[in-house]
Amino acid sequence: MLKRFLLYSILIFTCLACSKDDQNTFHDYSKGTFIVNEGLYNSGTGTITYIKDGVVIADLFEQQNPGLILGNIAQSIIKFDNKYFITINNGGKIVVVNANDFKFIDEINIDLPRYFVSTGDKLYVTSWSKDFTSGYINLIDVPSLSIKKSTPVEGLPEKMLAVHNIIYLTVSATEFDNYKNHVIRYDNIQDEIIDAIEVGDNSNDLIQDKNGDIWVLCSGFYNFSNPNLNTSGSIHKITDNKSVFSLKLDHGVNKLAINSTKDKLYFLGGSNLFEININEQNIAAKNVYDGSYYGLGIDTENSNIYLLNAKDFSQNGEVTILNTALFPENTLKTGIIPTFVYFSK
Amino acid sequence: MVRIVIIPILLIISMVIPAHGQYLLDTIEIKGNKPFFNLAFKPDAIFVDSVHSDITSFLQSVNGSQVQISSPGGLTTLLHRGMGNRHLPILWHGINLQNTLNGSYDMALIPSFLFDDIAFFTTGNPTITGNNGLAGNLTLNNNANETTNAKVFLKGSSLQNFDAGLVLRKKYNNFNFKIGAQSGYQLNKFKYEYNRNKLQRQSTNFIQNNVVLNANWLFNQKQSLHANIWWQQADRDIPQSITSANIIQNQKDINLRSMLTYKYYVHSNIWTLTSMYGHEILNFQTPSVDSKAKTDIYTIKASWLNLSKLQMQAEILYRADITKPNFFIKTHQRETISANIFKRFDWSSDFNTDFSIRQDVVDTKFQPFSWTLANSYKKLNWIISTNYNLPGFNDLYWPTGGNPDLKVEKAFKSELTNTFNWLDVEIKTTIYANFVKDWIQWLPQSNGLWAPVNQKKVLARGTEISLAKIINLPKNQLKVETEYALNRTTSIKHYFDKALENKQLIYIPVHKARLNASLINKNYRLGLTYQFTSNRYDSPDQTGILKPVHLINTAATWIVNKHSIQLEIINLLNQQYNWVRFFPMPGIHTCLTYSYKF
Repeated sequence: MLKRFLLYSILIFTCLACSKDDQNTFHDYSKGTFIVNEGLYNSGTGTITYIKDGVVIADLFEQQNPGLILGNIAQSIIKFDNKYFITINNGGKIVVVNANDFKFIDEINIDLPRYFVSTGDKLYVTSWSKDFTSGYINLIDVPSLSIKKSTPVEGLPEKMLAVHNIIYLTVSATEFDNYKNHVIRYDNIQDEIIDAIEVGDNSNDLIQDKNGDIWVLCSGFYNFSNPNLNTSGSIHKITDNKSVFSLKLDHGVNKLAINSTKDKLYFLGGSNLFEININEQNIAAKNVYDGSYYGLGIDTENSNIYLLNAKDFSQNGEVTILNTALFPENTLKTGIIPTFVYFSK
Repeated sequence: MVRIVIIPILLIISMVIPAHGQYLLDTIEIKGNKPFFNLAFKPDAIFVDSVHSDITSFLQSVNGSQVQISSPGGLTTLLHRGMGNRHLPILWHGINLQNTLNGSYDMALIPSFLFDDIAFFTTGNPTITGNNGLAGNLTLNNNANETTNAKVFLKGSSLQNFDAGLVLRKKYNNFNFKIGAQSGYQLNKFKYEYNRNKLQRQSTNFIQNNVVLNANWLFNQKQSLHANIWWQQADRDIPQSITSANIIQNQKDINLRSMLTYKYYVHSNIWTLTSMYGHEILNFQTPSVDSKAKTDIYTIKASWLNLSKLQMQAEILYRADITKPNFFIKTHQRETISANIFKRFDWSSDFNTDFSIRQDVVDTKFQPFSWTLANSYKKLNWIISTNYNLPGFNDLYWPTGGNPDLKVEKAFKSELTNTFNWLDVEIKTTIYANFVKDWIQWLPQSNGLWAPVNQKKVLARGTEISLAKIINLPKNQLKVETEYALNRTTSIKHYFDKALENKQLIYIPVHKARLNASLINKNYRLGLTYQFTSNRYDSPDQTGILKPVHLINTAATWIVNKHSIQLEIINLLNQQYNWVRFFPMPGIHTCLTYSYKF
């Protein structure tokens, strides 16, 4: 009788223990899709949603590092030197984890870090000053996990693009800033700013197309005292370090991505998805998908478009995956305020 | 223009009152320094120990309330029965001090030691107390007729918080005078665990000074004049969430409130004319923000009260709120003209009905008509009322998202209370429902900016029970009190996201309970309190859950003649807990208070 009781107890306990463990685990996280979720603005922590083979891990960092918290407002992620580097904006740090098991390695302290770029052998990150008036492009010393050099930038540096030995840098600006309608050029051999190329008001994001041209998306200026005085957004094509084409867009356009054949540009405007086909004679922006989106990314292998929906910015968000025909293939749950997609190949 | 017309009318009304006969002035005067509201409705909780305890502890003890403390010394707000902090009027001698700019009155700024009469009304009479009374109301009153002549206290805490206060009273024939001052320097230092490390919490460097003046002058048997002044200054660093980098967020509050009340007594009537001026400064600075806000409040109120057969009150109020923050494009002003009438009907010796109505006109626009019907039969009370809440100035005029088209929040609430004795146990049971339409919430818009919108219909309902028993022992008295509150506050219709319907609103616990036992003797008092708060959600889709909180506090007080010393041990179980995620609260800590009454 006692034996039977013990046996049943063990069986029940085993079943309960199994059913509770609903986490998905992989042995290797060096490849897959990573969605960076900012977390609640004042009282939250960022999280990393991991997607691979149709399996979603809601909070990969927490799962792989129990008891550790990522920090307030996660911004972006990059893989470099078999490590993932995650910027924690309001937390004032870059969290470094092992690319294979996503286990915590160390932190790099830096005020308000934003976005990364890799030149192959060097890793850079943009950051802002605490008073939000200026910023830096920072060279990370990867072996020692420290900041090797910080070059001041007038304005708030944002996204970067590395082309040969030059890093092109967008600057979030107001109408009173020096680099109010520019893309800055930075020499990554000498590690210094070279000059700036004039584009539209308040440059926001940039990519390179199949022809080697650089496309810069500009949001336009906000006029907080009178929204009627907001300036228009625009997109610019840079060839030989000169803006050779521009297209006026609605105020507030943001987030720029390109498909795998590098001939279709996508961006968000009024939270909808817009497309520009660079092969067309008369280049125009078409509203191709309606919704309310906060982030955008395109899988460089299959051109699937990842649209991030932050909903009310206080509950878990969603990612909607569109195929090349712009048909929604899947909608998956993310963490709170999904903002950035990274495809680790 | 409206001001120019209404002020002379009110003055004329007050001058033409016929001087017939005389009323028992002393009787009225004792009560008369309080607004009539306090006379007609019994408070649901009275703050009895403002020497040893603070306002936060008092509010935590109110059944059905949830005190939200982001961090000790930080913003402290009250969520009562599922309503927001903006839904709670803070009535200083009947004038609402709730912040018209951001709707977030900071309870940490109330110097409870300086007030003679602090009480909480779970419903009270929302018609009389004004437009935002959806969550009950908190009253702060002074009374120069209090019997205690003077008192002093000194307090020190292991969090490195230090407070001191002094109250003096004087009587010269028909003139009563009270002056009180309270100062504090609070560092709020404690350790917490984060990312497997034990860290020191950011210090608040909280300096707070308050001065309260209260004077009553009885001219003769028919007339009296009452003056009240409350000046306060607070300067503190507001700690950030522990997930953020350490930056200094500094907040400065400088507030001056002054009030002059003239009363005229004739037969059983009291005619009152009150003028109030408030000047409120709220400055907030971070490395990237430098916001400065000034708000001026002008109020004139005239009322007539009959305490005999008619049992009736009529009141007319004019109020102007003028705000000049440096983040607004221009100065904004709100003018309110409000009239209310209250009438009591005594159907029998143990059955009466109170009925009151109010109509407000705000900036020449008629607001929802409000009324309250309160029936009392023996120990049974039933209140139903309607009310509304105006959006704050930030809601309307914030430069990057302010929504001037916001509708007011409209409310209907009902509460049934029964108080009775069973086996010498005093029992109070309550059931209530509170319905709010067009609940205001800030949400991100398609342009990426945040803006307030009318988001949903909310229904808060619940039940509360409290039991109290006094057991007389040979040399001591044992007092045992226990309370339980069940609350469901959900969106019953969400205008934008159906998936959020029928889900408990964030930060509102479904269950709360409290047990308090005190052993009382002539020379000492020993107390033990256990407080339970069930888990709460901090994301509207209920994916973010804050763990339940179990708190045990104990206190020992020695009383020798006019001296008393109290040692308090707070969070005896050394619980790691927070009311807001990533804003840790202190573990076990102590507080020592000395007081002297003379």
